[in-house]
Amino acid sequence: MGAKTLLSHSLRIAWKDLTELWRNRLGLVLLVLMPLFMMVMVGFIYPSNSGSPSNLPVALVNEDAGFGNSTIASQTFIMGLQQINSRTSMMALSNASSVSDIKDLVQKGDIEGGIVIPSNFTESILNGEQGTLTIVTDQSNPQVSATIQAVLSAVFDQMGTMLAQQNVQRLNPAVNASNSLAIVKPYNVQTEGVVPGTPSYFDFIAPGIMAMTVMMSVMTGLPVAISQEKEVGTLDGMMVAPINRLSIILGKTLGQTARGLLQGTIILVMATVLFHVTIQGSILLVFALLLLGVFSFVGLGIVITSFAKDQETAQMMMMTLMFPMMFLSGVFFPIQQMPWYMQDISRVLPLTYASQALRKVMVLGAGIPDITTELTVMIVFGAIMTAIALPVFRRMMTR
Amino acid sequence: MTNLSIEAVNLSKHYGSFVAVSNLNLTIEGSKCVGFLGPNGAGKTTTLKMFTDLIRPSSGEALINGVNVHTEKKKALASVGALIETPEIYPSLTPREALMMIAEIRGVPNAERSQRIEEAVSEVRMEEWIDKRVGKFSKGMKQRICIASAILSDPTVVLLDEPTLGLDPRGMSEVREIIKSLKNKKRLIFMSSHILSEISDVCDEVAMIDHGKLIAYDTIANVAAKVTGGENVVEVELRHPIEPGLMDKINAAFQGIESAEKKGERSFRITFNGGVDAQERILAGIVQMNVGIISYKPASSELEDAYLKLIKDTR
Repeated sequence: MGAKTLLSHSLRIAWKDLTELWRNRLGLVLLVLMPLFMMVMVGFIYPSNSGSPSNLPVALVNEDAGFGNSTIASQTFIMGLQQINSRTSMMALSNASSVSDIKDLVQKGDIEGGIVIPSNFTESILNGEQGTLTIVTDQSNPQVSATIQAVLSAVFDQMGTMLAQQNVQRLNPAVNASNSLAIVKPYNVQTEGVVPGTPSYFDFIAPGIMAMTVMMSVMTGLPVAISQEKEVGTLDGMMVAPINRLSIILGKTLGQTARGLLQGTIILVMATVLFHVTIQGSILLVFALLLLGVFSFVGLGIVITSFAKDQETAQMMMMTLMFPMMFLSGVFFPIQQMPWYMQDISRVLPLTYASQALRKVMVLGAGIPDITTELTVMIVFGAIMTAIALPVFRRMMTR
Repeated sequence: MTNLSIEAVNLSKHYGSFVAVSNLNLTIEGSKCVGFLGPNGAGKTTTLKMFTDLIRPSSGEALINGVNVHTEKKKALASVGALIETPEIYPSLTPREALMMIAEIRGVPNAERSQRIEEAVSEVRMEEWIDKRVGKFSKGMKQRICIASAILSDPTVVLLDEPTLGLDPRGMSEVREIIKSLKNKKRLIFMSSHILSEISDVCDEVAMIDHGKLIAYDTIANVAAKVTGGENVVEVELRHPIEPGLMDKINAAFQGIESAEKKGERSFRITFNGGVDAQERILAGIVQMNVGIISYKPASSELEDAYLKLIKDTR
């Protein structure tokens, strides 16, 4: 059987699958809704602008006993804090009576954290010693706790710099504001991204979701499609014909690829229109990567198909493989945040490379030379899995 | 025309210690309809699946037109139409769409596809449903479309696995008529069933299988004769009630009659030796008696008697 006949049969089978999908109105609606829900849920959980908190409920306790009759240090601190806050609206500041009051409020969930000015604050500052401020955090929420610490530390750092500048100028009136800053803070740090703008968490997650959607459509769709035909009895009708079994697999894969690409496109459109994701790289390369993702996963999908007796088994096998892959492949969380042994596992998963490649192209504007490792892994994995899968499928289809 | 044939050569299928088909040797040649008869679990479907490469034989060969089905599947099945187990057609497609796909897969030339589809659908009498979605069809209608798909490429060999399974009496009757019409076109039809009347009605020959082993293969009459010791039975129906003494008269009038027995007020059975010649002679004689004969046919229980005896002998 020539390649032309093989392709022709495959296209006919793919056409049949897509016609059935088109005429299954509910299935079609769910096909569109699924990526829509995923994007909306993920997109609105994580805000699209980059990580600046606002109106964090924080309480302030001022235990400063003063020095002499003066509480100038704590008053100056509080004024400075209020000035910065009125510019940035980072915190919703309230007063608390004591440290235990702050802890009560944190436990009740009324505040996210607290600032404690100790009783010897003014005395320390006026005696030329460091004043110690305490930040109380909610340990039940490590991410918010870390954010509060970071925010408050930045604020205190800024205020401390301003106070140090004033001290320098008082000690030597000849020093102007700019020189005093250079004395107090000799290094100034600037950050610059590889691409313009400030990518958000959504820019991070969108490529991973696209890769995952394509993976799911092949790994889920292919076994379920073939198992369903086995159960219903239509597969035998095809198999008794003088058709190459490769045509059946190829046709089904083409059909599922079209579905996956449709869902991937929906995600891409939603990401750019609703969540203002900017695609820095080539759109053609994005779609080429999605197709390569299909090739990478189709072998795995065929193996599941071969061993699954029915749809239920196919779905269970698929879920067993898919869930760990989703969480370990850097789709939702950076791999670098995982323990080293989990990072090693993620490095053998094809989805890791698919989402990495897409992320590099979409967020950093990478070209083909920049993603050769990812391309190589995906091609090799796909080729090996397909080489294993096809004879397994042929053997399993003839019992 | 190439000689049509279906051949099993030492064909066996084991599932672990369970033997589904045991050393089957069967050669069917020429254009005819052969019934494949056996009880549930006898190995009929397993055998047909081996002839269509849906199941790999444990040993032996399945040949169609001399070509090994397992090693040269495409060549072997190129001229075969098959209906195996309870096939289905895609519910969201119309018969025209589904058959177009099957026509392409079966290698029907593009220019002939539409015509072949319409001919096949016409042959199964489903013309008015050709553009309606299959999901709306009854089981009998789907079965007819499945038969249409089996004959779409105008195959010379047709394999049918219990084609009337699950149909109501009308559906069964319609499918049998369709199969009879298929016989008219120089095809080799191999049809499995466990319904004796269906095999009697439709088939020229019968192959009986039980516990995976072939127990008989011949014409229906010869298979029955082997069991009955060469005796044949005809059932006669008269227009009027049987006159007293008619049975004795018949017993005495014709050579070769074993017995003539009343079955009902207007019907009786004649058991005789001598095959079709005697059958013809007896009919001519009874007609001359002017007793108002309205029906004269081989007893439908002939095959049943043979089947029950043969199956019993293998248990």
